[in-house]
Amino acid sequence: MEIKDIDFEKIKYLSRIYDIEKNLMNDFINILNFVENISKYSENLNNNHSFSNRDDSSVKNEKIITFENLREDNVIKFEKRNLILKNFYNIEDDFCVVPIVIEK
Amino acid sequence: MENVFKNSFFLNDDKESLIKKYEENINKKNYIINSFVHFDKDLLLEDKNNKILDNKQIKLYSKINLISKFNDYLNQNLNENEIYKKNKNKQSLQNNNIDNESVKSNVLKIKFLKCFQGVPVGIKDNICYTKLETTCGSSILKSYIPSYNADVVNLLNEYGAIVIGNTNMDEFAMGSTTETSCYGETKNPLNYEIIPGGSSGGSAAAVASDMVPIALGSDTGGSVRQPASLCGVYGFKPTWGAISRYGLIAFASSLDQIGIFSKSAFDVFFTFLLLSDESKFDMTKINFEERERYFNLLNYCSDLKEFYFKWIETIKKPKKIAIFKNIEKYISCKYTKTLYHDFINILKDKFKIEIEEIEIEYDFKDILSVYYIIAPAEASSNLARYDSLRYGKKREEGNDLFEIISKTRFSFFNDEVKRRINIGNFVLSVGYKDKYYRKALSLRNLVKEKIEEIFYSYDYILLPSTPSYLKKIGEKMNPIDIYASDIFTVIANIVDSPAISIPFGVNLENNTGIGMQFIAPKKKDFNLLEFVNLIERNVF
Repeated sequence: MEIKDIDFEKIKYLSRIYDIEKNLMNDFINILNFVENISKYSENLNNNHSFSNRDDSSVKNEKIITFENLREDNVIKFEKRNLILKNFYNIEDDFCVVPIVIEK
Repeated sequence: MENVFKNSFFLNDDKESLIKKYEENINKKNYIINSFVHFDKDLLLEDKNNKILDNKQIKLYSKINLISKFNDYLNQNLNENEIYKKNKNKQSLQNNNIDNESVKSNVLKIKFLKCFQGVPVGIKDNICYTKLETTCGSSILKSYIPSYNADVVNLLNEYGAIVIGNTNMDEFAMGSTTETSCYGETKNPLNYEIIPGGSSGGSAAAVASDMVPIALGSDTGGSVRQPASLCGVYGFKPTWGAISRYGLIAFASSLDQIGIFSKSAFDVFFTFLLLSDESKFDMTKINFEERERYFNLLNYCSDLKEFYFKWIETIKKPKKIAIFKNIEKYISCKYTKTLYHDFINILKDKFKIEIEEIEIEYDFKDILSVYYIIAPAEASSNLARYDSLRYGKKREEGNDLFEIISKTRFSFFNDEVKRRINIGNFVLSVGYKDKYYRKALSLRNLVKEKIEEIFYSYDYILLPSTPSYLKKIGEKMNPIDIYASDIFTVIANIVDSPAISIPFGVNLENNTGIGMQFIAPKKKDFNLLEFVNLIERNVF
């Protein structure tokens, strides 16, 4: 990842730090390269699970856990809750967690 | 079984000799190990001129006088009812409207109150206490004395524990070595050439070197479990919100949690029973119904030993524990690998627990990256308040306010803090927020969901606490390699789960500790601590 001088000026301003020494600039680039992976990795994940992209075919992604595999305390919990967890949808992040269906 | 009673302060009959040992160790070893950076001045012996010494002199010349403070508690010779009355009066002064519920719950705590009288405790330098300078190991906060007590400090004081001082830490809890403090590095009591881990290295070293039976730290990405593992003690990080964070100076608010160090699993459990009390000031605090059950049992028993035996008999062992596939590629220490397998075999053979290998589609390095995006982002925001106007030191130079602030921050923050503030502001800035911060949040949610799914079928997840011993004091290392030491610990913070590091052997090359870590489902803190006590009783 390449960082321009103007970016360092911006960081100095945002961080309210008077100067960034050379070694910290190098560390900064190394750390960004280290976390860079996640930006690509989670791009795929976001596409798979994006609420707006969700159609009938994506329902196949639902994770099914059989009732026998549940821990003892979870069995009681899910009996009380009609055995289904509701979907979670966050409008701001356009992000949807794959629903988990408990089959009895 | 003998070891359980030997290591536990609460279960030990001869508390007076233990206190003498702690006092001796503080006065002899603290100067070498540098665990405590400030002491409660009421505990210090005055010098010949009857003048209280300042902090630098305390380190060099002064002595802590713990035994007389402890004897004050013993000489009071109060019975439970008197302690309760005293405590109730204190509460009525604070709150005139005590409802029936709180009276009922206070009646349950009568015996509990007596157990904490005179217990010496160390707290990390980022937990506010009005009697001590609280500096987060940073020059920028030097001479800052908080105007209020943290909830945990109030609880400890209320129950008669002695908060003896502040322990050393990495500046603003950013680091894994306890080398970046403005008070200098802390040494690992097991090997003075090796770091104690961090960022709560001071607390871990204080417990490991028998200066206090209990110390508090804070865990944002493994800052309790990692030093606990390297110093050979128990380190417990509760569920996010299980212990009130009111008065804990914030680093990354969605990940921070106060944790407990001790040499005994029972002492961790018992301290957590106290600290998980309700809080009026922390809206994220979660409450535990189980506490009442423990208080009932305690009231029924004549002493703590009877409580221990009755309680340990009721503990059920878990049925299934999950371990991750292909985890060995991340473990660089051969002793850790061997001990990890030994520990699995003990669980299988001795406890007859089913251990199953599971796969997780997310690379551990990516989970670490999620942490190193979210934590700096939150830190950059939390540390914006240190502007030289409200707290700590000022540098009176510059043409305008902006220059004064930026020069102060440049001079008084160390490199690691600057690194994280820079990264945090960058990943939150326009043009990069979507690429880094929002994606890290999305991946955090997905990892949470995956771990929750695992906990539908398994009781706990087992991992080593650290992949290696990390480094020698003063050794130069790439920041990314230091970050990698958190690879097994960040996961519990990311998913808000409780986790504990159990001391399980040593690295034979350098004598540092090696710990094994259990991660439990959210709010199953007491179940986890019960299981760890069962292990302590049957294995050690």
